[in-house]
Amino acid sequence: MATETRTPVLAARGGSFLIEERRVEEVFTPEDFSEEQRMIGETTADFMEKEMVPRIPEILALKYETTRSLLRKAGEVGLLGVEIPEEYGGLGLDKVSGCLVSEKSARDGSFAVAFMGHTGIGTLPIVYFGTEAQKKKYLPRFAAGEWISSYSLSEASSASDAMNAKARAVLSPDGKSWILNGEKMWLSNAGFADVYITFAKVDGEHFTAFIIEKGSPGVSLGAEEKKTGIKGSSTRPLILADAVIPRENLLGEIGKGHKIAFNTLNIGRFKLGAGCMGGAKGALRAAVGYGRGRTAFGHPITDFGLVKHKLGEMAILIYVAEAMVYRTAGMIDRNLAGVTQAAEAIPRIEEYDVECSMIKVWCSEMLDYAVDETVQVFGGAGYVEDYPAERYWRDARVNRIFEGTNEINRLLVPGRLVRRAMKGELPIFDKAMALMGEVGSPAAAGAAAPAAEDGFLGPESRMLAGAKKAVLM
Amino acid sequence: MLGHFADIAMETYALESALLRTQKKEGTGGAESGRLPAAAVRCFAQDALDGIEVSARRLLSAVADGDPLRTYIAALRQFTKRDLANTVALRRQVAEAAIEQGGYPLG
Repeated sequence: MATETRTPVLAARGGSFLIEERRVEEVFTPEDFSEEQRMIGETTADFMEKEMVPRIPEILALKYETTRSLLRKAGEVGLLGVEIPEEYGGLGLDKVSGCLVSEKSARDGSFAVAFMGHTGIGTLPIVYFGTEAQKKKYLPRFAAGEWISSYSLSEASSASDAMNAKARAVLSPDGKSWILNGEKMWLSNAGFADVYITFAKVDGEHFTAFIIEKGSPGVSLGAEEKKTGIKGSSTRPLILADAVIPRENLLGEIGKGHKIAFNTLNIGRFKLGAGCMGGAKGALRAAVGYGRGRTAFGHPITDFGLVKHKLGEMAILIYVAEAMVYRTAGMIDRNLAGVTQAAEAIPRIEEYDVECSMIKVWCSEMLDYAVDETVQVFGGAGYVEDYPAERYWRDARVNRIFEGTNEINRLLVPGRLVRRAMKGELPIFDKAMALMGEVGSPAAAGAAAPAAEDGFLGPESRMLAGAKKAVLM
Repeated sequence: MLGHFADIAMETYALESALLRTQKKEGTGGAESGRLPAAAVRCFAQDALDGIEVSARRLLSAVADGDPLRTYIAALRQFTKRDLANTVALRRQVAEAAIEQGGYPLG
């Protein structure tokens, strides 16, 4: 499915970080990027700087043709096909490369949503679940930016509880088409998309995915949503009124739409983390740039301790985010090594659903801290549209809502860990019982007692050991 | 309650990821390349443990009371006992590098 990450990292079991110790050589870090990975990252950064940034005002004016033409150009340099296999017109690169592209694409929130909505949740359902004919029809066009994709799971009355969808699908009397009825919400890219990946219940019962093409009979769009941020991103509802969809446009299997929905979101979540990290780097750059030039009491405000606190904290949190995101991407790539079939890839990615949810939550909240403090460093200038800080702040907020709210993702973490423990895949309960037996003994003092072999960051290693015990207790 | 558990797990994964990255960096690039990242990790570790303690206290208070709760809290104190670091100075060290370089200094 993809080229292999160079460093021989360990494909540890998902969630095993709680009960196992890792050695440094077992984890992938940004310092391990290969030349190829660095190049795709630099190509993306270069594209965004030269092609996209000068057109931000047009993007923010919601000029569909601007975003479409930029996506087409991104396709010409290969950026839309990073995770599409080579046989379908993509580059077939690994998840580390995919994360690098996501990180570097986050120069502007609106364009990043369009870019990632297309390359991620808009494209990957067909990469992983499409038939050969569907892959041949859609993926080369998606990779080239000739066709743009959009994805929707939500409805007016179901979002986090997506399985409660009201949209219905029935087979037409002649058996040649699906007839869909319902209304889907929050489709990013909707206004200029050619394809909508969406979900409906076959015969009102079986949750199923469909590929819908623009202009199909009975398919229309509602008005643009008036959003708080990402104002240059098109967000419209999809209205299905006796919509006629060719029978072959059912995606995956009848009643298995949840597998497509959740696995697509899984990948989307950790790539969203990469995007948030890229956005936070931009916010930090803006805050430092403004702070160095702004004087108060005869000094640049970056001389003041309270401003230094904000800048230092942002940088530290970004460093931690990079470590989490690329460690996880490296594990997924290692777990995908040797996989040639898309169907085989899904459970190997799903292995890291806990890590993907954690990254989504942690990085989106980290970004909100960064953009909030960037506004603060800008002061009054941070609250007016003449400067970018207020836009960063508005654009960032949606990351805690879409791709599964942070509340849903928080619930998924213990839920999935317990499910694995119950299935005997992760001996969490055994470890927890053993730990409770230790309580009160010297061995329990994880963070307290210096070890004889204390090395580089030894105290912090002991703090980590103590943290793992706190999770299990 | 489940949210507090998730918060503890996230901070643990974050700390381990940053710690291993920094140890690897120091191991391959030498002490100087690990200096600033080490300051970042030392600062983050203190804050992560603070956060873990708060979340764990709230979680334990929701599932136990009386003597069992006192036992759990005593165990938590044992697990998270540590020497404090000067996080004000560590954070400033990272900030000054960011100011000098015009942005993220740890990449």
